[in-house]
Amino acid sequence: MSILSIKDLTYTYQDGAELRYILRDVSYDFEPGRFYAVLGNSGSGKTTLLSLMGALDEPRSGEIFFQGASVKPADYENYRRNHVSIVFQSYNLIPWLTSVENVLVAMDTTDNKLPPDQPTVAANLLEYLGIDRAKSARRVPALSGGEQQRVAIARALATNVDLILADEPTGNLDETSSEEIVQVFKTLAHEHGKCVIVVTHAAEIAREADEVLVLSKGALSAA
Amino acid sequence: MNFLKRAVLSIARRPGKSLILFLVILIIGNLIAGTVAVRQATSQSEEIAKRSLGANVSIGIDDQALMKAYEAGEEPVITGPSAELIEELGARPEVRRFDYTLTTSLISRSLKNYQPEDGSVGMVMGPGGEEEAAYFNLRGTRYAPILLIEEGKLSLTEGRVFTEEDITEGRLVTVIPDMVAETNGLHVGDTIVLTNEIQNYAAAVNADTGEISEADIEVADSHDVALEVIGIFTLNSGAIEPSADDETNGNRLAIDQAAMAESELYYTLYVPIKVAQTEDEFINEGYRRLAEENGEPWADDKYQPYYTPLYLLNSIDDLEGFEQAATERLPQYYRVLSAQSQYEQVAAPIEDIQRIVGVGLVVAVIAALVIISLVVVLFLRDRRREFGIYLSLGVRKPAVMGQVLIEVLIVAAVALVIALFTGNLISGGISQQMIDGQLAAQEEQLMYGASASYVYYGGDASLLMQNLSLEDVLEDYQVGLSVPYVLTFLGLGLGCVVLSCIAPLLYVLNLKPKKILM
Repeated sequence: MSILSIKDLTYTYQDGAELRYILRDVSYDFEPGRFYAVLGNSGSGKTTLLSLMGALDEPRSGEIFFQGASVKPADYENYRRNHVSIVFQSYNLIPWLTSVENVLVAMDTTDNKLPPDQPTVAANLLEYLGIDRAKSARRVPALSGGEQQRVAIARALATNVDLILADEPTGNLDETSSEEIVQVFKTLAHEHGKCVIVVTHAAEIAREADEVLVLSKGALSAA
Repeated sequence: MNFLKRAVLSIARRPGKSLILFLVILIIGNLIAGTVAVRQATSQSEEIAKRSLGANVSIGIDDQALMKAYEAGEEPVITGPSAELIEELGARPEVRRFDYTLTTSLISRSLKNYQPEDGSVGMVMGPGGEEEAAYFNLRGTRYAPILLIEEGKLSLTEGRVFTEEDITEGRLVTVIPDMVAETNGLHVGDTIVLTNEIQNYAAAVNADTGEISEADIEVADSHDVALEVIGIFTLNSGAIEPSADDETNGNRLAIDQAAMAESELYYTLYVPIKVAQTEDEFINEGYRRLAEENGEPWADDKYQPYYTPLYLLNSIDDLEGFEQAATERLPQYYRVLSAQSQYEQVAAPIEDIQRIVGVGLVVAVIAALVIISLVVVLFLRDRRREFGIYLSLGVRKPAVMGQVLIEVLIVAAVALVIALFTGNLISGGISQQMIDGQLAAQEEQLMYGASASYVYYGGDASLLMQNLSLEDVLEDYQVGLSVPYVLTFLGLGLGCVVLSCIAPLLYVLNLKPKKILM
């Protein structure tokens, strides 16, 4: 059964008198345990598609279904809190908090059942992603770009959700860090059963993905 | 990490922004604290002064209205309140006790006046100037137990007060002061004789010089009144407290009403009101006839007794209701006289300060709302990304708004508690300077002859209604840390802060995570 289905998603914006389509009747089913890459040129609508799948925005028409259930706008907050995590290109960490504290913010927010002693769980998770205890206790601006992105991924994993969306997660990283992050996503999909959907224009990510989709002229299709 | 902990960490880890917010609220807090402290102090001194003035009222001429009428070229006809109206007002629920008196003067050739050491009680010369005569106030009262005795100003040392029959039948009985009794060897049961004389000055006035030859004053009419002494009263020591005028310059142009009222008692004989009215009418009629004979104008066609009403209200809180009801019924050019209305004139400088700080308070509150709102909104704009992150994680908007509110309230609470003390200290100093300035201004006015706000009540009212000076009011003026001040200031301060957060919280409510993060 699909973990996430998008059905006839359409997204438009008004450009003067003209109505422009970013997405037009986009439909797709995403399976758990798979690593998807959505490719597309700049302005093709990749980020819009991800924001709709992550319930950060509302489609003009169409629906998204999580585990078969329609996600209505009224459910968006709950959906973001308990079912989906998003990793951003610019990490989006809270700068005056430490790495562990950034992870704890997400853990405190979700309604999902989590193990007790959350600070230890968060520190372990960061360690698993290559952030040692000393760095975990530092405020995030003291970390490198790659390390910050790992903290962002740790935050995404900490809430124990099944769906992870990533928007150009390696866009600000060097080659080595990018490869390491891609490997983390693959591991999450293949060893932890998560559905990982990455929108990117980086061909190297596409090479590692289980399935590559291309977004062009508002339509989504298999590569 | 719930939003409460995030709020505390946010304050601690962003000390620069927290400090700026703290300083802004501290400065505004000082403004508010200062104005609240002064308002509390002025209100407190007003309340104490008003309570000490008591809830006693009289009815008298409205000088200001009369002056306006004259200035407008009118010829006002003044008709005093009738006995019926006075009694109708006395039946009102606000009234605890009431009386109205009528005072007239008679002379006696057989009695002597009490002479205090300062010689304040004068003597009059009798017709022809061949002998001295004492003169007495005959004070007719409607209230049989005598109001001043019931109110503890006077005590009966011998005999009794009037009965209701004495009053209604107008019996020729009197209750006299102990000074008169001692000076003349009088006791209860004795009879005193007073003379009511109509004196004709027509032949005594020198047409060229205008001087009066006392030997030529003629007695146009006279009759004797024999009164049985039924009681003797004494003035209770300390019953009449002089106002602060004696020791200060605040009302130095005013006569000390309490002292005057006390000396009046040396020659005041209480009688039933009908007795005083009969004598008053005799005088009025006698002089009217005399005026006719001498071809002089006489304004009153009909005798009108001039009553002095006195109402003792249940409490100071009844004053407004009574005043309103009475004002509606009183004849033109009459008004309710209360020590409270005098307060408004005497304490004008305090009221001025109260008005100034009132405006200051409104300005401070508006400034607080605008400035704190702006500062918080500006700080929140810097934190848009942070809030976008919370929203992308699914943090509920109320929790995000709660975090903002708690952050601001924690900083505000610390700033306001400090402002509570500093604002109080600063305002104490400033308001003292303002008061000194107002006192100096009033002093200057008095030096140049501006009249003090003195109210003459007359009769027994003078003994039950105090005069008040600015110093009396200022005695109770104190800027301090009272419980009402603390509660009012903290309530107002925190209220302002919470209201100031409305715009910033609406800003948070309208944030769209996609626009912020992607």
